[in-house]
Amino acid sequence: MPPVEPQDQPVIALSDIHKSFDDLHVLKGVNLTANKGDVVTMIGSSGSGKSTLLRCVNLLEVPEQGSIAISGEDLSFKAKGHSRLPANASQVNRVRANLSMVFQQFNLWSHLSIIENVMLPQRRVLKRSKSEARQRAEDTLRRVGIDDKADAFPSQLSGGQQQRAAIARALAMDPAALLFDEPTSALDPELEGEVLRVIKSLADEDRTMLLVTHDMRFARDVSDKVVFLHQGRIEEEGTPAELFDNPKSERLQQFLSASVSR
Amino acid sequence: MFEYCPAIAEQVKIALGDEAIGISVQERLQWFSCYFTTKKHLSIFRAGGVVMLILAFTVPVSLCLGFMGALGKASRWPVISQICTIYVIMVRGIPDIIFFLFVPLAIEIGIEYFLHKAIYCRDVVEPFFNGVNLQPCQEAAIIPTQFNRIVLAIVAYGIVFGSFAANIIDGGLKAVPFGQRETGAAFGLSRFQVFRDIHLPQMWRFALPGFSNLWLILIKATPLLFLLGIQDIIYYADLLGKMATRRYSTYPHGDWKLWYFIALGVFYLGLTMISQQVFSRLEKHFNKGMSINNASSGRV
Amino acid sequence: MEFVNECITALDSYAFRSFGLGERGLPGSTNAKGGAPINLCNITVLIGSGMLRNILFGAVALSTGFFLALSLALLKARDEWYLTAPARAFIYTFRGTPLLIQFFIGYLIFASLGAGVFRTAAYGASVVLFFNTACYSAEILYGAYRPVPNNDLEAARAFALRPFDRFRDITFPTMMRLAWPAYTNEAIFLFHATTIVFLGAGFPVRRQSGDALYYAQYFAERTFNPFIAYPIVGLFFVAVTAMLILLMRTVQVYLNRHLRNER
Repeated sequence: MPPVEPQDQPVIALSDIHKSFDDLHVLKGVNLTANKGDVVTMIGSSGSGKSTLLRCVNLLEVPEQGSIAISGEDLSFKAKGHSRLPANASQVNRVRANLSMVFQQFNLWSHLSIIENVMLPQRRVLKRSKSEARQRAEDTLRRVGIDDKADAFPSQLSGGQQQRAAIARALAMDPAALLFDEPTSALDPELEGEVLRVIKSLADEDRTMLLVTHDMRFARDVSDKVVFLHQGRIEEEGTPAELFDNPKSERLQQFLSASVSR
Repeated sequence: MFEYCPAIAEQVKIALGDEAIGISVQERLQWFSCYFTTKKHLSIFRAGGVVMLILAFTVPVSLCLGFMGALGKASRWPVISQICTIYVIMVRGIPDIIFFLFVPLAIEIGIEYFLHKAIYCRDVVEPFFNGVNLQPCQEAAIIPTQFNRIVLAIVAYGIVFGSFAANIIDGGLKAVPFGQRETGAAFGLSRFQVFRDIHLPQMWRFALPGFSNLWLILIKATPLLFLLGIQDIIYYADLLGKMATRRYSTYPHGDWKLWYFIALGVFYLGLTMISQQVFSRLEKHFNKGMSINNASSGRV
Repeated sequence: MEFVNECITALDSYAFRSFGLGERGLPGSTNAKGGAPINLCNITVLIGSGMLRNILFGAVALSTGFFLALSLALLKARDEWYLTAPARAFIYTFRGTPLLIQFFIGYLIFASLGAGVFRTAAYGASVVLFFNTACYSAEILYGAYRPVPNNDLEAARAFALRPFDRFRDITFPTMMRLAWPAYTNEAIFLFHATTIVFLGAGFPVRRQSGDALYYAQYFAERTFNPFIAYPIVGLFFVAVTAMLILLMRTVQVYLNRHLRNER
């Protein structure tokens, strides 16, 4: 058997992920893979565990059970159950540097200007030089269309602009995959469009992306694969056409009709 | 029991030197119980009482001055409001200790000036003030007694902490939502009634953390009484802690000043601890009694 | 004109008298070498000279105390009781006892240790002020540590910033911004507290090198007139406090620059 080349391996591979908070069992054995260039979208009602699953990928939440492999590298853990922890801090940092996240609430560092926000992780984590980081920051800010706001502070920007800055910050890390956690949920409807357009253009570039969203039209538009989560389990998964046009499970049918009527 | 003490003292004299071994714990305790109850030693406890007394008088004086300052600041007459504004901010710019030194002296000299000019020395040719020196004539000069000093200290503390209190009361009055007062006015309450029945009671809640803080500052400022020449606990700690030789004392000991001052530190630590407890309870009580958040739903 | 000359002489003799430089005898002193007259120029210059010492005391204690304060605050914010308990106790002790008593105890400890320079006011009192302000500042910094937004820290974790980088780039700047108004107050209190060093806090005054209040008291006692020296020292303090507030406000504006809303 020929050795498996790294690029042939899935960028993200989760298997049998369990996670609970106190008594609440949020994830009950989830498997998920994202290959290079895939845009995988997770949908489901609130409380279905889709955000938690995303946060398990870069270990902002530590699952009690299950394994995570990023670009073929298996993450190691120590202890078991609720006290389970990553065994290797530098591995966690390596993984996180390679999977950049965009948050629902943007989470821009409020005391830094936009360009400083984009430069900081490059400088500290990738150890890029100041000029290199600035160059890259300017590129990505131009890419998301807010290069004119480079020196503004987050509080001076609209929500849509802030989220685009957060995307630029993630892009500048040149990650293997981008993680989006409901990137438009905190935005006014009229501001959603600008952010969705940016994400769509990234998807068209064949980037690997993991996306949590409540916007069904967008999910259909942008995804290679859609995953429907219900009560901590994957109820159904497939191409957008399969899921949206021909939902098999009753729960997905209910969910979709509720989403449409909304 | 008291007559018995010097005999033990004879023994423990040695104990306090190098030959302490062999003296039983019981004898040591007996010695200390005698030592701590000598007439000279009881005066330090009395001095502690005096400090408490000064605190007890300072609080009402400062509260009165504080209210006058805070209300005067909002006065319609510019002269009063300006004077009160200066009073309210003066302790922000000038260390309290300067007032403690200045105010008693200024009052003393003011009285001397009055006695000099108006009563005793009307025919004295030499001026009271010659360039830089102030010279009352002999009859008008006040000899400061402990009592005088304590009264003057209370006035000085009252003025300084009145200024702090004015600042807090001013802030508390401003923190009461305008709607609360407006509602009172809408029900036909007079300006004074609104102030007494609505504004003032609500002020306490906002001002309480400030007062709690101020009380702790006041407690921690009492050692400065020593610097005003008052025979307070520090004075006695310094006096009693000094090395006492066999020649001058029935209870000779080495230099115990450090222990005395540590004891004072513990005393003050206890005082602040108790105060914090009391204030945190008060705060809970006030917050329970009137909740601004629920004001609209409840009694209006 | 004569007044100007008097003042130039006063500056020449006494501008750095508080550090032991210049004319040995104070104005109006009765010893053989003294004899400069007591006049407004001499009073003002000498009090101003003492003021330099107050400023130095305050600046040294505040700047060095900051580092201890930060360590104490971070210790107090830890989860392990054996780390928080000593930090808590240390902070509580210094915050719960009067500064004057701390001065006495400090002096007595230094004296019993025979610690040379620390038995002098310049060094010994500085050490006490250092610990004192460190504990008050620690409480302020601790209070500002907890409300640092969780979102900001989570983003930093997601981008793999190491704990030290997270602290330096995210937590610390936010902490300073939140702490600054209270820290301004502490700076003022500390600066005012430096006046009790030379007022009988145990430390001996050598060669009559004192602070502003020491000289003010000297003049007030020598002339039996508090109405000149004390207002002058008061005005000095008002002026320097105002400058201090201005300086702290400037920093405050800088720390809050991202909150200015241009939209």
